Amino acid sequence: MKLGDIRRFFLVVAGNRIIQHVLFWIASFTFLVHFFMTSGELTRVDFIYTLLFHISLATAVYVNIWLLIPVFLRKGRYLLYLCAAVVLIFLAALLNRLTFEKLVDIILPGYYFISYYELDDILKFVFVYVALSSLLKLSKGWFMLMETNRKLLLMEKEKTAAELQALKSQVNPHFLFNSLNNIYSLALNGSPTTPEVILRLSDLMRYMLYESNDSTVPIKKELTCIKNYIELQKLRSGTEASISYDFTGKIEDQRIAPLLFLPFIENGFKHGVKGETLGGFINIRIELDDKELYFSIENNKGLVDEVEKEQGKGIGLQNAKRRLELIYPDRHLLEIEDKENIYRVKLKLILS
Amino acid sequence: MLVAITVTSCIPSLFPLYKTSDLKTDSRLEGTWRELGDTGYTWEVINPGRSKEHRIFGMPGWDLFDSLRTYRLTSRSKDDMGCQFAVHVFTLGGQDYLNYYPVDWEVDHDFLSWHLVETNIFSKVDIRKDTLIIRFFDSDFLEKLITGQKIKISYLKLDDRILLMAPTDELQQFVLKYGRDAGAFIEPDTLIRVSTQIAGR
Repeated sequence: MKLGDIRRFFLVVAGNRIIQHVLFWIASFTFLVHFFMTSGELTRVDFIYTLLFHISLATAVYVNIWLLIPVFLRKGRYLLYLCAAVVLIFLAALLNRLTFEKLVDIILPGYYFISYYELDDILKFVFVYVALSSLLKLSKGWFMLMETNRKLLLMEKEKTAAELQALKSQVNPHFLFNSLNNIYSLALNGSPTTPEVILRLSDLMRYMLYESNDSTVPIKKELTCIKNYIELQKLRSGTEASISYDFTGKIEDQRIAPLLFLPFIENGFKHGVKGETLGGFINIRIELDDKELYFSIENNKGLVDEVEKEQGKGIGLQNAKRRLELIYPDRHLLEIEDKENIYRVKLKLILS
Repeated sequence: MLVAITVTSCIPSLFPLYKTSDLKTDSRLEGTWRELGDTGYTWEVINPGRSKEHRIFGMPGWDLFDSLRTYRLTSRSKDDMGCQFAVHVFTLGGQDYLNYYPVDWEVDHDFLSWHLVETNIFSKVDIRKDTLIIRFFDSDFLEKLITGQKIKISYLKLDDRILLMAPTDELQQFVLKYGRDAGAFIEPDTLIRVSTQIAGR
């Protein structure tokens, strides 16, 4: 039986009170009938005796779990519960004696049973059952609480995953929309670089659509994507803008959440290079150091901030921040400087 | 009759029916008794602890017992030497009982004695001035209950005999609860007092 099957079995048992009780009493009967066995083999009298013995045990157990626990224990009246439990144990022990001294002759005439245990022994039996039933009842409540917590946690994870997916899906159309606008402009001006731009865009879209669906991607692919994007933007921006991209570090098997930097870069181009009629600058730098990554981008602020005219202004940056909070909680440091003429973003990531 | 009964109908028990705290003395038991009829079967009962003449405590087999509340029963058929039993008298639920435990018997054979395990048997007793009425527990009654799986008691089945293994507490509870059951004890045997003294030996 696999672990999952065992867990499912316990869930079924935990969810079905009748099954729980039947299993409990089967276990109890099986144990006691062997405990009470007088000769080397089980006989009818052993079964009957065990059954009769369970009258007082079952009475004690059900009075405990249906009356004492709900009325006293669950309401925090611990002392009252303790007193009531002691009384219950004594009464159940007396019932046990009564069963074998009187009741058995009425219920089963012709059978010869005595109470084989002294009162203090019977008290111990009843105490064990009352204590066990209390523990089971409380542990069942604890088990259900744990299950509820687990479900809540699962729901939270699913919610986070859905939120991440939604944020990422907002990145792609955002970028695609801007890129198509760029290509439209190039095509409108009859630029010979239009096919190359379309090819680079195709590469980017392949990465975005097919390769960036995992929670993390090799950092090499992400850097290639950034490079392609910058090249695309360079083609569009012409020679007047000063665009630099600098990468230092050793690429190994580091992985990173996909499309994390693109909103910042995209934002830089929108506010800086594109918004500046007399050229502009944008400096992007990435340093990779084993498990840490430093990203920085700085750009001028355009005289005509055309982004302001767009609907959904700033969505890309907000998404990026939210994704950082979700994916790299306590493992990132984001600093944004928004000065009069310069906009600077610094991001430090701990990759694993 | 009594000899036959003790062989065929009594139920041996590993444990006695009495606890030390239950024991009492009854001087009416002492004396020589003869079974009613012509069986020639006699009982000689004395309390050796109170009689210097018959003191036997300290002898092998007897030092197990309470010296003052143990009776020595010498059981004889017509011509034999007799066997000796430690007999204890006690009351349970208002009824007097005797518990019998063999201490010495005629067969003086060490190798045989190594094979034998002493057991207890018990009977109800009505002690009157010159009459003892004895009723032994009926083995057939118990065997029917055991084979019919209607009684829960510890026992061993040895060939066609039953040896009770229940401890004294349980034995007493059974006797107290079911001792008045009409079938539990066999028909009474009556012994008539012959003398208040035992026969000289």
